[in-house]
Amino acid sequence: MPCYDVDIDTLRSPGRNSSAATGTFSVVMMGNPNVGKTSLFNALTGLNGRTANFPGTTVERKFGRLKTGARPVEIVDLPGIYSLQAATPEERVASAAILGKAPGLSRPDLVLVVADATNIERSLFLVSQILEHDLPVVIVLNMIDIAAARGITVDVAALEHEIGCPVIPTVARYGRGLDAVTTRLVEWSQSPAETMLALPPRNGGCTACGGCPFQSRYTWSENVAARCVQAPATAWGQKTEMIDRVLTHPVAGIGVFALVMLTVFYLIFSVANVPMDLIDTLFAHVGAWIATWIPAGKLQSLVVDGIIGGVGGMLVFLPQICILFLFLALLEDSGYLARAAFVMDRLMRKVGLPGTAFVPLLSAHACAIPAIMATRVIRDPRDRLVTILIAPLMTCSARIPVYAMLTALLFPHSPAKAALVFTAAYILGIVAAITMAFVLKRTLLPGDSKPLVLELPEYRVPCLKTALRYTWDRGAVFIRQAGTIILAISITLWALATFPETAPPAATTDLRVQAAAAEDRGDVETAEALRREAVNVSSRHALANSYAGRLGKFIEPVVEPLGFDWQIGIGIVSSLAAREVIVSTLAVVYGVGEDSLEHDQAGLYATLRQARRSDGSPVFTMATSLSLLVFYVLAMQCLPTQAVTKRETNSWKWAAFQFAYMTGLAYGASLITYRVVSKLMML
Amino acid sequence: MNTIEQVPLNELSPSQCGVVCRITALDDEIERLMAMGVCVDRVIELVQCGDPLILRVFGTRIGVSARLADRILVHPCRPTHCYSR
Repeated sequence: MPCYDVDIDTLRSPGRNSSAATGTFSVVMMGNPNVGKTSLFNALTGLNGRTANFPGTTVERKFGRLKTGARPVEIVDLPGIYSLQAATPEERVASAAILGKAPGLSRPDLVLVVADATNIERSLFLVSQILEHDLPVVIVLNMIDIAAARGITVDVAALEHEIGCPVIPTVARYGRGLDAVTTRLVEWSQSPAETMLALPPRNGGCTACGGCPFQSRYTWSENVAARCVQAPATAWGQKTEMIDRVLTHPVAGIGVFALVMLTVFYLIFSVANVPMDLIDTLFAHVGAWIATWIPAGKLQSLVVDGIIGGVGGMLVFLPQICILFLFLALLEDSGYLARAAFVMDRLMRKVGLPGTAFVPLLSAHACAIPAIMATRVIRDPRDRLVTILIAPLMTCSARIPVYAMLTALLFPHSPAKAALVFTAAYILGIVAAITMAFVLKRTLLPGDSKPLVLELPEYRVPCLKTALRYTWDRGAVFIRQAGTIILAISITLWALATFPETAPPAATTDLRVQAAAAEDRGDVETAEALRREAVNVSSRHALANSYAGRLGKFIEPVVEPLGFDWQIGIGIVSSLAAREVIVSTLAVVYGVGEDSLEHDQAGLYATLRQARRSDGSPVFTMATSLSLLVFYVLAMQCLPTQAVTKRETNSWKWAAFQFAYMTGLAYGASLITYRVVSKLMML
Repeated sequence: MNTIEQVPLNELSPSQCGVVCRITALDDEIERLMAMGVCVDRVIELVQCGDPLILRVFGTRIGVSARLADRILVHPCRPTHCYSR
């Protein structure tokens, strides 16, 4: 049959498309998922690797430079794929990359294929596709130690001869065989004219032989493996199977998963507090220190409150992000994460989402920002987008101070009722998220969830080094791409709350005079109290007259139907930076002062309870408080989330949509709450 | 092996294997499964039934939705047939 002949004319000399022996030598790394590409990439590039999206897509690549070599060798690591067939975004990008058509990437000079020594046939499938392109190929046969442990021996020379390219055995995780890889890459980069016979795959990729092209490639793979690989007849993987009997069991599996997630969740909540507090304290100290260098005034306020406060407020997200990603990396490397997605799949599909959406949605209860970043585990772009859009509806830790304040206002003497309302708020968030997922999948982003096709890799001890490296990458991506936007938002909101400057009202001067008089009399306590009062009055006046204050007054007609006044309006505007800011803003706006937050919370709540509107009626009635609570459960009150949504979806359009729909949802629910509760209270 | 009998993959018994004879309704997801080794003439083993189920091919375990497994028709092997790779 014609496809099995070796055609001498098709012998190619590689390097035809290489750039000259100067300039960057570009290498593209490809391979199946779970073969250890990441370990290899990290080992080859050291700390200079960076992660970024392919422009215009949500597919990520990692790129870095080889640590040695005279000519710069740039390595681009593509996501793991099973075939170049272009059925998924990753495969489309990979096949475009090989053709030199991927956005931002020129045609590579060499393709480094990472193969799994324990599963050579599957790896050879991809190799056969790659070999059809006119490019030099080097195969790295990774996990050779695991193969040896299973009694699999590979005749590397025979394999090289069969396939027609260099094959280098490695154990990337422990750094074995890497010198050979580096040497080979450096050699090739320096003399691209080196020829290596690259025989075409035996099937030639032709479909004229009948049957599916997959079949003919696999037949080739099996034949090559049969000639070059000796494997024992006994089955392996029994340990994995035993563990899986529990972990993939429909009931026990979910139980174990719940336990694992609770642990991770608890760690995110508790352990993260230590570095978060440290960051807060550090930036407070830095701010105070800087304040001694710059005289008091707008510049000092900009630097200390705006910039340093903004940077600190952005970095404070890092501990939660890092802990979440560290655990995700460890769980994935161990092989467990695939099982978790497997057991949750059945439950999640009832909601229209895949099992892999569970982990991001659960971590959104700590903070939506790392959760949205974690949605990259979801394969289907539509499902991923829906998950990103609904993630902020889950009650995050920033809402807790707001819930605490409002439930204390509602039920000051009944902790049981307060707890009930608190829990109801959590449940409302979850129900809203599930409903929105349902709605979105039927309207804007229609289509059934793709059926599950998920490899369950062998269990193994996770590699801490790789996990830490991955966490570092994620943190760096956050700071670089979302952090800059968050900083800009913080500074803008600071400016809105600070400008325009107004002179303190007459009442302040009076209070200061009284304070001086009290001090003269020797009544230090009264003097202190009067001075504090003066500061409160001054802050309140400044905030009310700032742009934020004017915005609050401007939106008052809009928020009035919800039972809010312009002061609450200012609170809502200012908490666009971060939800919990409303508590301190209300403290200032109602004249109690920010200090009371730390020293006298009961005093703050008592004052809020007594706040009066211009007609004398109390501001925080049951209807208003419940309405505000519902608003905070559902509203997109955290612009930093938008920055991350933009980064992960690659467009401001979806970030804007997220803001718009959540605001609309919050407004509607709040309105209904206010009207219904008001009517009920009148009965 | 009964050459006439073709059953969908999810109708095999747990730990039973079969040789793939036909795959109906090709689409992106089925092609993904095919790229992972599930194609005609391959021996695959049903490791755990349910929805999703677990199958094994080329020594790899893959979790697959039942509605996808439905479209993979296999010749079931004899119960004593041992799947070793």
